[in-house]
Amino acid sequence: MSQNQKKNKLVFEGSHEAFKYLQELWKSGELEQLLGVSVVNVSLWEDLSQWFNNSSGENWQPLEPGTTVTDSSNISTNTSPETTLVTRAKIIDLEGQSVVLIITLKPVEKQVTDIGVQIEPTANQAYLPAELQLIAIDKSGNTVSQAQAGSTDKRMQLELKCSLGAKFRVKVSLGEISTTENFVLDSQAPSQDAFVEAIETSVSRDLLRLSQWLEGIFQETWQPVELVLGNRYSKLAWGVARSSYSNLKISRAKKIDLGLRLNNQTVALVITVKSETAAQIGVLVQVVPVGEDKYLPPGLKLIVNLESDSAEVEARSKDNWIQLELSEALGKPVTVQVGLEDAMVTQEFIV
Amino acid sequence: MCQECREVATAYDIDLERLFKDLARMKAGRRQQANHTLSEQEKKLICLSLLGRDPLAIAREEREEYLYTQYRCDNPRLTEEEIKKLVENKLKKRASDIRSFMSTTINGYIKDLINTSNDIAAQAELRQREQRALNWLRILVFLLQNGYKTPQALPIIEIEYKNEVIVSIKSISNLMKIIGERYQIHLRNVVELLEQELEEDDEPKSKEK
Repeated sequence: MSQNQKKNKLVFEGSHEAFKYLQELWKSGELEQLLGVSVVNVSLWEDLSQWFNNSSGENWQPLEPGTTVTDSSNISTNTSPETTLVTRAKIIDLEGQSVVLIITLKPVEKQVTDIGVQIEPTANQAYLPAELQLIAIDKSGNTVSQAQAGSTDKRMQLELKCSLGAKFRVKVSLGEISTTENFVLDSQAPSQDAFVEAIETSVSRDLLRLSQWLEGIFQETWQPVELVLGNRYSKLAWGVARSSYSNLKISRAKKIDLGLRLNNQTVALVITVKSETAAQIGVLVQVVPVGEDKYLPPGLKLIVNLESDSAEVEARSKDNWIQLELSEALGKPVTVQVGLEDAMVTQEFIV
Repeated sequence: MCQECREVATAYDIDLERLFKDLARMKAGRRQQANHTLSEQEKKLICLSLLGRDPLAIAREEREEYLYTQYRCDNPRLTEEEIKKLVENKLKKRASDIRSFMSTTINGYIKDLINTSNDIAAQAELRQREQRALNWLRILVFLLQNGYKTPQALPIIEIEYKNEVIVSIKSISNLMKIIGERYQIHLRNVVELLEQELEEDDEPKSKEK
């Protein structure tokens, strides 16, 4: 008798109800009795090629590419036939915490399809749960690509390239809780040579909207300046006496770490916003030492990049702070960089 | 369509009309005739075999009750055990007749059908079996994989099982019957069939009593 350790398989085409029933039979032990064999797994595989024919499995709903998923009821728009992009979304429940799993298919060659695997928070969540993991696994159980969410991440995406007949799993896990979705790209074309390759992994952090500060909306990582700087704050304040602006001004600060480059000295990035017109706000960006240090490390740079301009300032030997001031239209991106030599911290904002 | 044909169609979603037509062509070829059709008996035996009945099980379904009643009436002095033994001997004889009939008819048509197909793997397996009886699980897989079943736009469900035992065609047909009565499900394939199956006895062992 052959001692081959491969598992045998019965393959069916069936409804989700049939799958659930089979699972019940398996869990109750009836399936093993019926088949007379030791069943090790009962799994359901979504055939992604069927999505091109407007057919998709239970709970997978069409989603127009680029649409932001706000809640399950909003997953109702159509696909993009011109570009043959097909996007489907599904709410994944991780025992109380829900996220949206989005699969996008884009045929690139006759036998090959690019597959985007994306995770977004649901409507009532601004960010993905911290430490949420998104993992793509090939049919042999090897990890093809993976990403992990930080505390302010709003999207994770894995880009895969699959040939016809390829099978892969997408695992979404949070601590001990995990759920796995199985996919096959054209189950009618099983091939030993079918491949699943990772193209790219990306994690999109939530861009800070500075204008929201004027509405009293702040991110946890940005704290009141007095909490970060203590007494030093009064010297920095964009006070009315020294400002031509009498409009509302809001400041928040965040400690930044440049590691050993700063010889364990910590600095803080202080952002002050003030309303100027209905469509424009003023932003003051400052870098100051924190704690006992009175001066910034010489050579520390502050760089501000706007869409069409940039400015840079460098700390001298006894600078208490460095700063740059700008005015920008609402919705425009701003990138602030603080760095010493080759160590650089980047913070991206939307005005 | 006979009852057995309906059961096969429900369990496996196989295009029996096409299968019978193709097998009739093989029959005609063997008999060197231009045209031929399958007899009702041949069709019934094909269906019963696809449902996992071996010749003894077929004989039992056909005649056990009749034979028992007959022997009981004709031999009132015999004990229950003696009657059962007589019935069993008669059923074995009938099973042997069925086996012989299948060997000279449908088994040959099916071998010809596989050999004229493009399924090289099925042909190789057939050669390995040589003079041994056909394995109807293999034949079912051949039919599923060679266009006798229309693929359905449904998700794929896989049942993985340890390979120390090969699942029988009878178990599969029973499962299909149980689930198929409630939900939409069709068998697509039985994969990773291993050598051990070829090393099993020619005749599948019936568990029926």
